[in-house]
Amino acid sequence: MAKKLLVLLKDRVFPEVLREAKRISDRLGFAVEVYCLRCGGDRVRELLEVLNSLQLTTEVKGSDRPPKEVLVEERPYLTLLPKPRLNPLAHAFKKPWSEKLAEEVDEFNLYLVEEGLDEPRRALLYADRDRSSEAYLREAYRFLSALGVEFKFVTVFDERYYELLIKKEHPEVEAKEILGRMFTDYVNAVREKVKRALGLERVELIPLKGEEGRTLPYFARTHGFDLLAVSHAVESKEEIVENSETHLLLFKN
Amino acid sequence: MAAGVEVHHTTLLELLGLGDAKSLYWASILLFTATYAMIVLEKFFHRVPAALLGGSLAIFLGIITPREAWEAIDHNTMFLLVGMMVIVSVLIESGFFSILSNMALRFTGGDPLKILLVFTFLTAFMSAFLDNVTTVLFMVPILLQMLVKLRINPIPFVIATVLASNIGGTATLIGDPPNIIIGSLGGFTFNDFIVNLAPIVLVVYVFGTLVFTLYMKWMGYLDRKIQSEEELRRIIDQFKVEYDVPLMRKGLIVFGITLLLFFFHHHIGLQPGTVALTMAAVLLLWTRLNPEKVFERVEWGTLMFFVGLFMVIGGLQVNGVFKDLANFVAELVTDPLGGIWIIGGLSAFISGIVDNIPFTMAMSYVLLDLAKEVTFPVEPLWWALALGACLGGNLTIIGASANVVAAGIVEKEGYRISFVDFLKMGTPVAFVTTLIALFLLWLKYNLFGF
Repeated sequence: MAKKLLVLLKDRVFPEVLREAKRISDRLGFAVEVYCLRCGGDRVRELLEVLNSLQLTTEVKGSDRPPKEVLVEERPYLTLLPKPRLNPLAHAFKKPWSEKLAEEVDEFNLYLVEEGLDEPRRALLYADRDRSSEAYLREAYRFLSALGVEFKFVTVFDERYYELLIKKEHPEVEAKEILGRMFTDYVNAVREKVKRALGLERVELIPLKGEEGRTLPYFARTHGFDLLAVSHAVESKEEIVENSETHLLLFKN
Repeated sequence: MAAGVEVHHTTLLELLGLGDAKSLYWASILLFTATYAMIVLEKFFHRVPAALLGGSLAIFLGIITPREAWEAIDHNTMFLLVGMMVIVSVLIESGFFSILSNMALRFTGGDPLKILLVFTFLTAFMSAFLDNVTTVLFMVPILLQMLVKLRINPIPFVIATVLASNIGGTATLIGDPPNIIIGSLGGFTFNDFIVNLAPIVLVVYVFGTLVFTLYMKWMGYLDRKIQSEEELRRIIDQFKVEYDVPLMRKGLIVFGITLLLFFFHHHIGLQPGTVALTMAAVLLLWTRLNPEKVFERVEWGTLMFFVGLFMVIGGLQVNGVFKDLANFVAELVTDPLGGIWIIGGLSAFISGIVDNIPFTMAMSYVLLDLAKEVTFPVEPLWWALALGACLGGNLTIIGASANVVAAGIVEKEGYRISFVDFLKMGTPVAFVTTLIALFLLWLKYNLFGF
């Protein structure tokens, strides 16, 4: 039986989300179901027009229930949600419903499609030493490979956190050496974890220094990556969700 | 030793037989002059150790006791500075100022003249309702980031912003610390300040802006122009901002509540310093940021400079120098119209040299005494004091807290506002604005009576 792909829309129709749903269903053979929450007659008509133009045959359901309830009832393999593009200042005062949902739930695979972006071509798959599970790494790896997206593994080492602790007790040169060793050890540990999880001989990993909640979205944005894949267990989930300006995949851990 | 009891030790001046009140009086003036000279001679001395040396010598020589030195440090100013520096530091960390600077860059099209006019206007307006230090802590980082992107020398723009802040702060009861003192001791309301000072400040602001704009034009600081829309876009694109929306949200919420509490601090019986410090602690707890990381951005040098300066000025106050100065001014006043020029002019001059808070305090008590002895109305003298004390702060870099804070911010970014740099722009602005302000005040009482 085909895996279920749920598209959740609310108040507005985002053609980008429906286009991505069509692409995934064509490529991976998923069964698409569309929910348009709190959509009036005009919105439904607009939605049907987009679906027709995409030649996406699917059932369209309407509801006034909260998105989380729909998710719990439908239990899809993957849920596509719109991620409206907002100026960071406006974003500070207005949090879209899809981001709230992404922060609330951690037992569903979610795909937040960034408004105004084309289909993803280059992705970053995030792995850390302590939180991301091997199951997540396997699932994300499988999904991205099947989707035909070029992707790279990435990890972030929070150097400043350790720096403040170490600099207090060691001279500067010694502190730098210790930090350098900690960084290498951390990266090696993550690489080994990915290799073990995926049964790979060699893994190419981009090692970054910073705070994952800011560094990861910033790196993706400034280095031509348009999709970021993380697990729900990532430490700075709220920051990653709100700071990213790329498509975002959140997998169960 | 019981708490609160201070044991007296023989001081150096006492050992030299100079422990009498008169010697201490002159020693405090000498120490102030020497410290001031070190601050001015910045090529040889950094102003922070210079002020700290002056402050500690005041205790060492016995000009001021340790307890008096501690009490001379204006805790409200210090708490306000630390609290606001922490809040602003969190906002910087969130990328807020970088985003604003990119927006301002788009809005002004990178035109230096537009940048100057927009920023100085916003600063003056904000300063009318906010403490000048807060305004400067908020505006200067944005301006600095924007001008660095445009490869424009930020120093004259920062000085102009500080000058505008001191002018704008003159307009209201809550805009500048001297006004708060005058409002409290003179018994004036928020509306009294709006009616008597705001219209004058509005006119003075136009002239002040004209002076620093013409100076900057003349010096060629406004010549760098962006050639095309494409160049502007390229500059903005070069500086992609690493931001943090949740952190920005928390920072802005706390900053907003802080501003709100500043407006009502009189009603809730809290000083702005207490409000700022409390809200900074709330923000640190809420964001769970590592405090050590946040404190890295706090300008400890500026805070230490204030500590030293407050102690040196405390020496003048404790030994009666301010009182004599104020009495001397009061003796010269024989009628209210002439008094406007004397009180206003001297207040501007003295406020430009020493911090305007202790001077305004001393002068306010003199005006209260004067009101009992003379038959003419002293209200015009209060307004002259407010105008002089606030606008005189633009005379030198140490004339107002906001000036020192701005110098600290730019220094952290690798730039330097020298005493002379500030003097070149500040003195003409202080002179013109004070002159026009006092003339308008004089004209008002001449035309409409008392």
